[in-house]
Amino acid sequence: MATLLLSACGQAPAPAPKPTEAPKPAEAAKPAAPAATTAPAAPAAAAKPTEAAKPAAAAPAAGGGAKVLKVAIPRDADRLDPQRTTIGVSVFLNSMLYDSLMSIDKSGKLAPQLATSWQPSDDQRTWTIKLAEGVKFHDGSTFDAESVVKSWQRMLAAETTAPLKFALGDVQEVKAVDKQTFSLTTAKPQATLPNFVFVYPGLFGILSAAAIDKNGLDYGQKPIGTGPFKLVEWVNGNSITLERNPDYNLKTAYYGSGGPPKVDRIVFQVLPEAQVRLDAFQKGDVQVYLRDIPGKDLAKIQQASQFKTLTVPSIATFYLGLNVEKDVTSDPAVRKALAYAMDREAIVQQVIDGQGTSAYGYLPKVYEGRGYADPQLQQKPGYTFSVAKAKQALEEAGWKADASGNRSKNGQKLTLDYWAANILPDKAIAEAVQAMARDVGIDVQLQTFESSAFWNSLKEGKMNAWSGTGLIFEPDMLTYQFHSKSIPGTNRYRYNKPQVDQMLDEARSTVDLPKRDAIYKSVQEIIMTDAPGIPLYSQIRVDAYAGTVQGFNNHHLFDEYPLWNELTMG
Amino acid sequence: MAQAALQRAVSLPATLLGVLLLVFVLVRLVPGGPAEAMLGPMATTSQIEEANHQLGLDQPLLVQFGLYLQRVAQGDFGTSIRTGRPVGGLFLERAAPTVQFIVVSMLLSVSVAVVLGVAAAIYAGSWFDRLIQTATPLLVSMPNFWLALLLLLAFAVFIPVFPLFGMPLITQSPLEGLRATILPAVALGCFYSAVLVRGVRASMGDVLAQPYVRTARAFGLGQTRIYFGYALKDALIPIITLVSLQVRYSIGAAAVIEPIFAIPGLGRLMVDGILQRDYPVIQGTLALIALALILVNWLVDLLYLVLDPRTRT
Repeated sequence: MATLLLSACGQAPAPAPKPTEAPKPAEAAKPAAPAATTAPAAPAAAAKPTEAAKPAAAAPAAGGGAKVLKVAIPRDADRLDPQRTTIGVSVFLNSMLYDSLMSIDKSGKLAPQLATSWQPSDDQRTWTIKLAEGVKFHDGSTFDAESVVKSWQRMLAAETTAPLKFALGDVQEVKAVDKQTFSLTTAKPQATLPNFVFVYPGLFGILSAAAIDKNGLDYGQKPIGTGPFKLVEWVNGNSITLERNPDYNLKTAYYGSGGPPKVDRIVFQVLPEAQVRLDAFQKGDVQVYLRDIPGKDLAKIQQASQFKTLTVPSIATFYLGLNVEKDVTSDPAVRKALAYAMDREAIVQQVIDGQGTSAYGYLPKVYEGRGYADPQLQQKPGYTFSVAKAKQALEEAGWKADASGNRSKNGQKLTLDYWAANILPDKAIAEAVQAMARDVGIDVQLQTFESSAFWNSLKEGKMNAWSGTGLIFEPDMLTYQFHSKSIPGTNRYRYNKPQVDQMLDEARSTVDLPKRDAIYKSVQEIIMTDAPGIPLYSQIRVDAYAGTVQGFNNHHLFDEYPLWNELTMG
Repeated sequence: MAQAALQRAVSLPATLLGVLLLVFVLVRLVPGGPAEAMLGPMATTSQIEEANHQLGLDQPLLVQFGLYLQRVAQGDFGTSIRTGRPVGGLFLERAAPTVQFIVVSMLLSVSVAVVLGVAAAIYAGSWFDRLIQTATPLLVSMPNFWLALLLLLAFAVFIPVFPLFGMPLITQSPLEGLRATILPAVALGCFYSAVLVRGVRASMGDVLAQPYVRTARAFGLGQTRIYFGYALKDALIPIITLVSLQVRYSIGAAAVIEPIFAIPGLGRLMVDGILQRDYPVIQGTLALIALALILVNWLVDLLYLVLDPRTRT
């Protein structure tokens, strides 16, 4: 930590004070008067007593007029290493520290970022990519083809245990063609490369070759990227401070106007308790309240005129999963009846306080136009809420109700073993699902699990049903959910349909976007008709921010990414 | 007694070994491992196997434990699977804020309890005594997380005399540090303060009923001298046991208090470690806490030695 602070101060302009001088609140209040009004990279002013009130925050003391944005986050990051995390907090911080090769513009086309041009080979197995010149990493090393090659090699190495390694596909060769050109060859065309790997900085940002050699697996403790912000301080469990990268000069589809960020520093303050996040936000101790805002608190925030909110459709879809191999849920009629029995709108309005939209397919609304087919799926298979249709499906399949309304067939009772994680909103939704199933005569035995043990407990397939949130970073994630080769494992439905397997494989190697999206549209229709799982809602993510903050926008495609570069503070 | 204290010192390594073994086995009995927690619900079976291999978790348990002991013997508690930070350093970093607010909380609660408890015993049966007798059960049954939120609302939001979050170390900025420690210390100490008041009152009452107190009065000694020169010292002996129990209670309760005040302390380190199945963090933290508790108990025994001459024979 000490070296980090020193290097941060070493790069700061003239008025940089000694790091040992802790700011006393009274001193911090008086402006230190640097000439430049924009105060490039000037250390943060400790304007409030709470600023000083942090362990080890004693580092860079008062500069004047520095624009410091404070953001409340519910939990700390684990590693700021794009290759070794999938935790939301770490992913969006990574998107500020690192750059991807390309980005996707508002029309859905690939746009330059670290790469200036690219060319897939005729067989679409080899990507030859030209890289921007003159880009520097935060440690001063130069960005070139070697950084990209080393980054991908590291991601593929066994000891990295990269959770999203599979997205790179079956890589045959990755090499530097010349100093600013590299090529990547896969065994088959790999659609996840241009649609995911090349464009998602938070998960596939490019690392510095020199820093990889130096820090190895500990890269995430001392993150070095090319991104618009760099890490200056990380107090474990307490706060993460990023500072603008004054040299940032990429004009990209992500960052609109381009150039370095307009705020000097952003302090991410970990506040685990929701009530304290709300209090801190309302008091003005923090200017941004990022994600996980409880519904009742959001209502309070939205009523106050000095606050604004930004609503972004999320990649998270909450679904009810059904095990198609286990007794009663192996009957398609039971699954269909459950799909009819779910009053999705009631769940959205009453259980999650409106922070979602009813879902009929697995691809979240954010993929609108890209294989996203909710309106179509509402028509066909058209499992929209209807108690009558649910009952009818069960009657036709021979599940008869007795006097008390419980159904059975040939002596077998219609009872589901339903597992859910013992956290909110999961547990509350599970109880709603239980009640809705009971309305059509399906008895649901709910069992809840400690959240970390939950997903693991599903591995052996002993339950009929479960529910939880699926993150669809990319339509290819459907492969992990529904392909037969993911049994046992991530295909917890144990859904096994050769036609679907084949289509998912085909989509994975179809680089052409419209063709690929068309395949996902058909795949979704088949899967939804068979109903191994019933999507309930797509999450909506809400961030709240003070009226003094301007330009608070989100990336149009990836819900993880508020566009921090564009922010200004009034 | 001195010999007993020495014996304890000798049995320390055995106790620690027992703790290490117990924690080592217990964390592995909990369903779900670090690989699953780290890679998330999308991880494939082969990815989980590979991660377990990289983490050395596919080796036989005995081998794993042997390797672990070897490292611990060299003072290396491993590195956190989740963050890659060394557990020893993480422990020290996180222990400082926890120790700070636990110590302040104990100083506060013990001093308040002794004053109120002694007063209640001296004025036994008075309105003050009855007030104490009524109020303490209420305080004991008040959940500490609720009290913590209430205190924040009252003294950080409505009357903002204390910060809402952020607690600097007293060693770095004494005044700010102390100010920010008051609310968490009160939230943590309130429960035990109420327990102690009752303890002190009962203990002091017993002592005041002893023949020697009557004798002292007969000799014409002043009240102040009887209460504070003789009785209090004796009354405190059973209280020391309660205080040593308070240390244990506080470490557990810190896990509840810390998230509310956003204190990056040991309690949160432990709970996060358990939720993420971060074996080295759980093992290391619990072992070091056990070590600290053993030392506290040891100190308490020594204190008895000083305060109670009967234990010296």
